[in-house]
Amino acid sequence: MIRVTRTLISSAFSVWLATTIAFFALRILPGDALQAQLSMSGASQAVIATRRAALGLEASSLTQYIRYLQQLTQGDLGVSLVSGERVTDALLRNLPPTITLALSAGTTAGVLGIVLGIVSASGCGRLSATTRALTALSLSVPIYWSGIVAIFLFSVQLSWLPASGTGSVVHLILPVSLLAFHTAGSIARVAQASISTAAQADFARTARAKGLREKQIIAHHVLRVGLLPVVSTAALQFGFLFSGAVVTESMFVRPGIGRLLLDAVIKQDYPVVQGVVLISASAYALVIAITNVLNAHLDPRISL
Amino acid sequence: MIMRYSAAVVALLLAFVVFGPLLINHDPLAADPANQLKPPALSHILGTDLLGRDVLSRYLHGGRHTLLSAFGATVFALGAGTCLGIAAGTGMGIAVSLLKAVLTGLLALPGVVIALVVLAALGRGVIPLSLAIGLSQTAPTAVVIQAAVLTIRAQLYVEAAYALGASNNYILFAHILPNILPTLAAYGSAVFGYALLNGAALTFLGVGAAPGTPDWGVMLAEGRAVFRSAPWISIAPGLTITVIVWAVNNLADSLNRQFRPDSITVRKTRTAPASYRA
Repeated sequence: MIRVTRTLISSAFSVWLATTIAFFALRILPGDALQAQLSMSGASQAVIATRRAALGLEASSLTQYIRYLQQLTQGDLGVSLVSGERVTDALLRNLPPTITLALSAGTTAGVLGIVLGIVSASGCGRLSATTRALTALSLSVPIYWSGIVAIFLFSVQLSWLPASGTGSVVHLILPVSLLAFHTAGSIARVAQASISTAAQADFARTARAKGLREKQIIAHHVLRVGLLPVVSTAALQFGFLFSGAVVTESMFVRPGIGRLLLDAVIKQDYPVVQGVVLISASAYALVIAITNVLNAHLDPRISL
Repeated sequence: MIMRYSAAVVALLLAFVVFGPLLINHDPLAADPANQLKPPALSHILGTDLLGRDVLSRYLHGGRHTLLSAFGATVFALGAGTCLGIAAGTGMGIAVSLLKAVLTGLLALPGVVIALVVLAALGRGVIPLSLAIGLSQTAPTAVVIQAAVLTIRAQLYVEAAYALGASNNYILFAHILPNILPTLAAYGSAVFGYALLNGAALTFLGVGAAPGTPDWGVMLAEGRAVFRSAPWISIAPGLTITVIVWAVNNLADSLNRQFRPDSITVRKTRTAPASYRA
């Protein structure tokens, strides 16, 4: 329990660091959504200054930061400079579609990646050459390009699947398969490397020496060790998944955290950007913490 | 094998950046409303886009643009990451603790979020894009370099140099820097692939290079709307990004295999005196 608490404390610390860095990075240069919006609509400098003062944007960065932390402890992330919506509301509205997308794509990618990794590691033959090529393809084809081609093929030419929107499972098929395919490559690489290493380890040699069949060795001895790094590099896969989600959401016009962030960046809506930074850092920290606990549980050689 | 790969990849990249734009006499920015969305023909080998601009010329100029910005991002990530990694791997004191805290904070965010925060602060353009991608890869690079530095510092030859009275600077320049070069080469190729793929992604999403510039990301974004009637606009840039990223990933892999860190036996880090500062 103490170990878990320690992991949680260090994750909370890194989340705090990340939000602090983002907070000050966004205030290095002058200008924000309010400034851009009001000066575009022809408001005078005095009006802009009044609005900014009302939102507390005229104070020094440090004062703003202290107030930000105070509000944060009360669960208040501020309001969007563009729409005036509470940032917590915007996040809560956009979180479910992203979680659905990420979980389905992540699970599919996990299964696909592990299968690709096992087959690629199993040595020579046409099958493993194919899986290796698929892995390389998944890592080097830009997702925005395969997305264009997939939409053209399945939505425009064959009209099997809708190209945009949300609502039903059908809307999920295309974005999930695309995101899963591109995340699977990174999982497959990790799995392949660690399985190949484990297959040459001493315990595998012992198993061979005592006359076990190769299939048994792989299934009972090699995979148990060889698949551990797939769990321990989950944070890496999460990064892959998240950056893919940003592209996928905007490509398939799905609501979600990635698109929320992208829109906020384009409009310089800093409170929303900070909110997404907080959410993604927390999710990242959660993934790392779960990974650490799970890994120590699965691998007796590791202690937290 | 590695030599062949590196030579082929470097030649391909250089050919694009240096000779690409020289091969063609069309202006990548000249619009020709009479020739919109023309399929490939002798006068326009890759056809024309929505504004009647020559796609081949945009593709070749765009290669220079996209590859140079990916290169800029890589140089930034490797330069900053190496300095920070060496500082974190050899120094101590308040500054280094602060540095490690900043690295921890950066590592707590997915790369794309860091890049987007930088772009939110700096605005659009090629230089902000290079900085954004470079910064998003700085912390991972620093961690890799720090690990390499710690491994090297634990080697017997460093201890021997120290025992012979070598200064910290001498050890840094004669032993540590030359020995992190292989790590840097392998990791650098991977970072270049990442920068190319993700830099073009951010441009595609409309936060990187400005619309209208000849750039592969811009071309993919423009080609997306008219993919049905004019697939030739986005095929060449998409295919080339794929080939280059594939080659660069392979190069990183073969370099990694060549200089595998586990071929060096690592000793416990206690051997370097605690007072060591570089």
